[in-house]
Amino acid sequence: MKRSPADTYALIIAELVGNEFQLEISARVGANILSFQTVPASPQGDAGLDGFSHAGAQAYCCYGPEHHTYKTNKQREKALIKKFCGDLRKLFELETKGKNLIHKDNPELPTILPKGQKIRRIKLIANWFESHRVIGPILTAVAEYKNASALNFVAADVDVIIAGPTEIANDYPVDELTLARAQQRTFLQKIVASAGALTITDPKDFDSKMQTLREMQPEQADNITALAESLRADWRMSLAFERELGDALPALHETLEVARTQIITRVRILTIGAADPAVHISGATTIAGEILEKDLGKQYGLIIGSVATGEVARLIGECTLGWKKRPVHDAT
Amino acid sequence: MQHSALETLAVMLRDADAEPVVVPERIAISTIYDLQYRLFIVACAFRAHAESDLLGTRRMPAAKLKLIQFVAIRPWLLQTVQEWAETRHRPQFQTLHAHTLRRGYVGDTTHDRVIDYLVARDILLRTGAHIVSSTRFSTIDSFATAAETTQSFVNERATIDELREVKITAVMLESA
Repeated sequence: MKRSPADTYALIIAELVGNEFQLEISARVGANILSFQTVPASPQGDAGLDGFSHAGAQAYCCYGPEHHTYKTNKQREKALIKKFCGDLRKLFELETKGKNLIHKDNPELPTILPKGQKIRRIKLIANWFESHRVIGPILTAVAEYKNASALNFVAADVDVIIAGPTEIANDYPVDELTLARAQQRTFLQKIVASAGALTITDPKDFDSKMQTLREMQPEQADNITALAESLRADWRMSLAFERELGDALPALHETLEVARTQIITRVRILTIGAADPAVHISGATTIAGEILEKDLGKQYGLIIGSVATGEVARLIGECTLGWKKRPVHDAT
Repeated sequence: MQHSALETLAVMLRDADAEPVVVPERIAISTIYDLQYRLFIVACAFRAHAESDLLGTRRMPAAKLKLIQFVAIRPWLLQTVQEWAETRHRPQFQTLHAHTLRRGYVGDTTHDRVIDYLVARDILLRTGAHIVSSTRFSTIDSFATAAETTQSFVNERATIDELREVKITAVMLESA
């Protein structure tokens, strides 16, 4: 066996970013600590707290930055320190003024924590924790914050712990449901990654149509090149989506195949009634969007727009929809 | 640039006064739903993995056939099966591995329909958890021969062959 379930889970959550990361951490902690309470970030903000448990004695802060945002580990370390120190200052009701720390009310905290309760433990959870160099600066900051704070909401002997994917994976048992839930969250990210690695086999029909368009609109050559690349990207997205469904959810793949047939049928009807390729393209886009949204929108709403565009790009690439120069008739 | 790419294209085509060309018959359905393709894959999988008894009847577990043909059509999943099979020494982990693949092949109802067709044509037979060659088995066996002699479905057949090296246990199939 190459990887234990806990290792697999750690790898999956390390891939998650932003809200998806926070949602997964909330689900993970919530499934194991029954008193876990999430803190909605809108409309008044989360006051630096993403969740708490044990009636407010234990607090949780999450941070899942986009992986490409930081190029080096040093940049990641800095970002982690900055983000978590910012959250901690909110909990300690502090802000920096020059090099000093001054009191700043956190008006939302009393509306979140039970009256009289002070936080005794803070867990800072990130999607990356592969450097010990974040520990010292954060804990040093905590000591400073304790001294500067009125300690209205945080206990003087508060513990602060930093955790990454490995620690979160090892905190509680990893079962099949945990893995399935986390993998479902990475579905979109997986599709984007596989789309980038896919090559469209024999795109010469698509390319020749774009070349025809360049010849008809030479002044737009650069825009057409960018347009073609964008359509190819959506086409790859559509192929990657199809592959993911085919591998993991054959029933939904069948739904997609039926949807494609419906798209072609309706596009065919559309082209009978209109002699304008612009109408064909616009109409096909609307049709693909409507049909895919109806059949797959609930599960995959986030990417249906790209998949619909990709389906129309496929119709162009596989020669269903095309265009050519209109023949010039001699008026004499 | 989502829908706007196509909107831009539509505007450009209108400005260029392009003439539409529509060839609807050029779109082919996915091979996954092509009965003949699926018959060839089942034939090749059955030839490579079924075992003969004393009377010459060939048989293999239905779940194993379903898994092998599923992976043969998707060779990129071979590594997942290999990793899954490596868990056989730690059976408590088997349900925790490859669950996407397991969900995928168990949900492959198209394969079930292909087997229904072959059973109805008296080519294969269902006996409990096994698929067994039936009276007209030579029909589908000739598909496997044809694939070999014409060097067709090379990737699929290579995957089927590689799966012979993978120990697919009953425990694995039962945990799916």
